[in-house]
Amino acid sequence: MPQDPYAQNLEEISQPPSLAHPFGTDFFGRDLFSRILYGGRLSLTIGIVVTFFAVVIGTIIGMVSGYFGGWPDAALMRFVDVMLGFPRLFILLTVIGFTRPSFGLMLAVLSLFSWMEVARIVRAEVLTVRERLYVKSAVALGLSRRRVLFRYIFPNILSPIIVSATLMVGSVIVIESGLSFIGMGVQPPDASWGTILNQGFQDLAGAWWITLFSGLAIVVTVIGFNLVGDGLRNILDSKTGVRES
Amino acid sequence: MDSGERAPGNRRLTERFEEVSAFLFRRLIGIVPVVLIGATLIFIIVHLAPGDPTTIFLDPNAGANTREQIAERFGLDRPLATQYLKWLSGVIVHFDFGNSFSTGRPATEMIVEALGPTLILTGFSLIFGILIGTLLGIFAAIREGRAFDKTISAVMLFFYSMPSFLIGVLLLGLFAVRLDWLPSSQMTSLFHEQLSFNGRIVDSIRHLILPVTTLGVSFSAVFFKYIRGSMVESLHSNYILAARARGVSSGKIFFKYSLRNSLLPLISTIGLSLPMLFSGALIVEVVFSLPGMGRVMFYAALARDYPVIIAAGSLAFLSVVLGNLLADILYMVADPRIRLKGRSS
Repeated sequence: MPQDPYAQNLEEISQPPSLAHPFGTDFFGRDLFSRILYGGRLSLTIGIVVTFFAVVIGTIIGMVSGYFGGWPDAALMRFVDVMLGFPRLFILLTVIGFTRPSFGLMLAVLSLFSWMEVARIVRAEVLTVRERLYVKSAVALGLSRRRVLFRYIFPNILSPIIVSATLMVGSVIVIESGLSFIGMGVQPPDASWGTILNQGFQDLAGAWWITLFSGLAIVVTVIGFNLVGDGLRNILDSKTGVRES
Repeated sequence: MDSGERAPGNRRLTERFEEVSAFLFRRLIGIVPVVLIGATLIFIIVHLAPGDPTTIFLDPNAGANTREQIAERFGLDRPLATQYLKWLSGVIVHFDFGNSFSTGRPATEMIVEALGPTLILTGFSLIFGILIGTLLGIFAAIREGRAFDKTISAVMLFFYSMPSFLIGVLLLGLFAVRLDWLPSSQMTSLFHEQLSFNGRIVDSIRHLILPVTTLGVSFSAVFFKYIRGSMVESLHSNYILAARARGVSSGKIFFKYSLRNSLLPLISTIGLSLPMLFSGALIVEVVFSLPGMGRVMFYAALARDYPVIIAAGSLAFLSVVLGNLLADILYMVADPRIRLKGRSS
């Protein structure tokens, strides 16, 4: 049933939902259902790619900070404070608003301003795991720092990282949709869910279905990631896990 | 400070007071370098970001000569380091961020004007969000696992997962476009000045209802999640079990034992979520065409108006840092156990 999301059909402009077009059509006569399916590719790609890079950066910084302590820790945490002070949207507005919005630039800026939370979580986890006996005995055995970090500490801090990564995908999708909504993210004719929402907003009185369905796509997806994240936390976190059993 | 008043003995109280004021002093001093670094980073990002402000004022066919003249007028022809030093001395000595490229007015003046609507919007929304979120969170935690809790939690998860501007667009579509009950944009009507005093108040309130509801619902979902989570966790802890075993009444357990311990994380949550709240307010302002910081930043970015965007960014940064400090102070007032010396990093 999905059709070409870019195919314009001027005989079917702004049609309400019907059997032929389950989500209706927009004011170029394009099938909204197909556009939302294709938009999902962009929104999800951005969410997952940005999360991946943010988690990698955050994990490295958090592990260095937590394991080595001392001045590297103090400097890195101060840096995290500074980065957290920037409202992410402001930076995106500045950098993207100044140039022609591009897909790669948006990925880069979003990743560079999303890793701080992960870094904090990882650091706190490393601080506790570092004191465990098995880590101490590994150090006492004279294993190299790299081996201790990656074979003894990293596997044991993996679950909070997975949980926060899952939750982060949802929040990145929200931010991307906001950017595209104000016209600074994905540019037409390409369309993420935010871009489609913006289109709907411009014709709110005439074609409510554009806003409704593109909005629903965002909400359902983000709820999904949030539920999976919360569920994973309940399973992986020993503290809540004990309570539930 | 307040928390000390209950502590027995005057000596402890003065000690506590000295401790707190020393801590405050240290933190306030600590803010200065952080804010300077932040403002410097903003300056660098803005100046290094691709795009040239001079092109905005010219048609594409204009010669290089005209372009150079404009660059000279804005001081953009000098090396970045010189520009930076000039800017920095202006900021430190006169608190002068330079004049806007597009309007020619001082950047600080434009921002102070735009600050009013933003503060009104976020202020009311924050009160709305904290009240609704906390109350629902408490009652959901008390009835954990029952129908009430499940319903409210599902509804709140829905709003938590929804971008705030989407709530705004839906409310706007329903109440302003479809039903035409409330105005869709601006802080006041066009004929605002001609109204009586009461009429003006009603007019302003009518304009605020939709944006404040939008942000307020969005905030309340965030606060609900935290308050419910931490209440549920504390209700399952051993000291609550011990209190129950001793026969302490349920009401006392909920409000005196559990709630007190749960309000602490809320305080730091509010402080830490300030950047997020700020970003939400910016887009909601764009949706409802409010003349606030969001619009100023949005148009300054489009026009590559360096002085305005740097000033706005620095202010946003400062407010976030101050918010975090405030959260730390409130946290300390609420919980005397927190050891001050360890908290500086």
